[in-house]
Amino acid sequence: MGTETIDKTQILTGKDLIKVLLVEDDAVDRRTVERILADCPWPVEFVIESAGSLSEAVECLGSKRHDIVLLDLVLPDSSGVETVQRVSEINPHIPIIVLTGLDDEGTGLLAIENGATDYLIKDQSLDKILIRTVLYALARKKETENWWRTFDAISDLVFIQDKDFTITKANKAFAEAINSKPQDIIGKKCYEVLHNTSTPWPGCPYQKTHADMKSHTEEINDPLINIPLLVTTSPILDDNGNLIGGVHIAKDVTEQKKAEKLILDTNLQLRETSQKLLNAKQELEKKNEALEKAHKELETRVEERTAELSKANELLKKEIAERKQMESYLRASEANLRKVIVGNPDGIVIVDKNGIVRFVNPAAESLFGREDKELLGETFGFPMVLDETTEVETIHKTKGIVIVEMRMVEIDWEGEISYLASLHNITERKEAEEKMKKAMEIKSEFISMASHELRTPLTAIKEGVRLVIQEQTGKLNDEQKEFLGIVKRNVERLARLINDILDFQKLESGKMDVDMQKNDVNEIVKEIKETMTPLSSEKGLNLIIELDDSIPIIKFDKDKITQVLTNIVNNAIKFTEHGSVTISTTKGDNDNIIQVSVSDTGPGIKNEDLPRLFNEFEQLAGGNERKTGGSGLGLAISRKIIKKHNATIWAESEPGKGTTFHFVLPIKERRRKPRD
Amino acid sequence: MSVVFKEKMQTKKILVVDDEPDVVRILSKSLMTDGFEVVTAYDGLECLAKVENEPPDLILLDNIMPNMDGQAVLKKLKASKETEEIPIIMVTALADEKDIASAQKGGAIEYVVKPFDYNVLLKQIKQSLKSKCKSVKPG
Repeated sequence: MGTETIDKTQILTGKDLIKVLLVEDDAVDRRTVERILADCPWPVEFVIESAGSLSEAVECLGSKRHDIVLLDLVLPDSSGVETVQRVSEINPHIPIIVLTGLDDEGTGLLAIENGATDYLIKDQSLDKILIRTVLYALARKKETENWWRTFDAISDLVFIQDKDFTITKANKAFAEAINSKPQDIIGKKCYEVLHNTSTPWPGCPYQKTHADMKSHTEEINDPLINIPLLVTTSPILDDNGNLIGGVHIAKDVTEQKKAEKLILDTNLQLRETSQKLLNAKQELEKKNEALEKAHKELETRVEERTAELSKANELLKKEIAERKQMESYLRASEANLRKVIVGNPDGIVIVDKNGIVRFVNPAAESLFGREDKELLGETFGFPMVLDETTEVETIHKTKGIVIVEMRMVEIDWEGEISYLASLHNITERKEAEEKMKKAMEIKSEFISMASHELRTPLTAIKEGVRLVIQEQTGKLNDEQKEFLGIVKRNVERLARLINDILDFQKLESGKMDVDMQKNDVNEIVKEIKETMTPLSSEKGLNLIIELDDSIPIIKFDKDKITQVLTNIVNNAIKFTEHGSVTISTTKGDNDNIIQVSVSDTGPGIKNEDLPRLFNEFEQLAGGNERKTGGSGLGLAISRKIIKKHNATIWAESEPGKGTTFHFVLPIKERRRKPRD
Repeated sequence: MSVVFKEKMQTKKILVVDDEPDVVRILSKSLMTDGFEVVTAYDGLECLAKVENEPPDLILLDNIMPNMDGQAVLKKLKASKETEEIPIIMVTALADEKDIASAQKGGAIEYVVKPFDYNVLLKQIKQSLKSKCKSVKPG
């Protein structure tokens, strides 16, 4: 039994050396205590330090470590509960056992209320219970210490509060978490400390615990603490199940939160990603559909194309065959062309744009009397006049001067702009022309001379006959008159013939010019009427004029037009036996011309004869030409004169009814020089 | 008789120049019949001599003649103060435009081509004499 007790003591206190501070001013009492402790039956050694006053005790407590204080309440410098309070202030954790006098148990209880661990009455019982009390106090202290150690060891933030929200205990983690010390928190309302409010915080789960006396957990993000907390409040109940307080455990869930957030974020991302994937998938499906469609279309097109291609291929084959055919034709035609060029009697020379000879055909070679190798690469040397015929002289090696008619055109020769000169030897033609010209001149001179030579004797005959017939040389009998009349008529006819021949000759050789002056056509017609009326009256014909007064004054050669009109009217009178001859003037259809017409009531002219009317020396067969004594040149001369006026003359006729001759004169002068 | 008297009072002297005697003869006969005094010449030089000795009122002048042709005679007469006023009618077989033009330029009052119509020629002679009188008076 004894050893067991010893073991238990040690386990209880955990010590084998106990340092005791004995605060006792009474020496007797002091020795008593010392003796009791020294006589301790258990294997525990007490080291006692004594203090005779409170000030001494305070000093001792400050300088050394003690396990327990034995305190007399009545000291020279202190008494009563105050003493306990003072010691407690200095070392709050040290167990204090108060030693009181005999009849002072009330003071002992008061001392416990103020921080003492126990109290003992200084009497005979002290012997028996002092050590036990000391050991129990130490054991209790160890237990409390252990509890606190455990409490503080909890990493969660823990505090204990009473039912009125007053904090009674708080662990180290909690105090540190709110940057405070446990002693500063104890006794304060939890909501004051944690939420800085004057009434319980509505979000706190302790409210619920308070109401239903069950544990509750809430997640709290307190701005004061600034860390996410998972708070669990659990009720502390008495034996009757009444609430006396609660445990408030807050767990730092920062990491958890982070993790949660991470999970959440990840989840979110996952969801987004999955959505995207879904979208992508849908798009892909769509594309796939489109692709499929496109593919089908493509297939259709490919089929179509293939069909087209094979068709094209057929065509191509056909074309190739045709080309081959064409090529052979081409070759043949090329050969033919070559023959044409080589065989062409005209010289062909191709000249490049620098005037260098690039090609000559055999005709060109013989034209120059030189071979192609001599000519190729030489300068052409003739003026390059395009699209006009020019005459050039070239020198033949042996024949001398050759006259060539040249015509040049632009061509594409071996991909370059070049010129093709076509050379026609006109030397012989030129010579012939020269000869012809000379012959014409001789003819012209002859006619001119002949007519001059004829004129003089004719004048003598004509005037001589006139003198006789007018009986200026004596009276004539009727027969003499008749025959001299024949002479006179024929002389006059001869005179007209000579005049006509001369006129025609002049017109043909270009020796006759027209003298264009402003004149009135109507005046000319009136003059003609006057001069021709005796002739028409002689035949019993009416000479009528119908004039358009609105015709303008125009430029023409008065003498020549008079000659033309005289000729036509003279013809009309000559060929008409009965009726009338009418001269009329009108404005032409388009206001640009004046038209003069001479109509007769003669026998008319057959249609097939009309075109020959204006030819020289053309006298209509079967007519009474012999009777009328024309030269056959009148209308030819008239046509030439009208042509000189850039005008036209023509005839219309209906056999049996009459003939109408028309000529028109231009109102406006033409700039162009007449060709004849 | 009064007509004869009148004509005598107005008798004009015409010089007919032509190397063809037949033409000169016929023209002389015709003109005299119509009351003119006629002087004749058969070449250019003779013409000039006649003009000097017997100044005419008008000259009918042939062109192609020996001893100075009509063109030269015309030029000579028109160059001299005493003779430039005498009207000259060319009566010729030359019918070329250039001959006519040069005669007109040289001062010939008319140009008549053979064979002529005597009545027309007569008209021209009378007209030329009239215009000569007119042009002389103001001068």
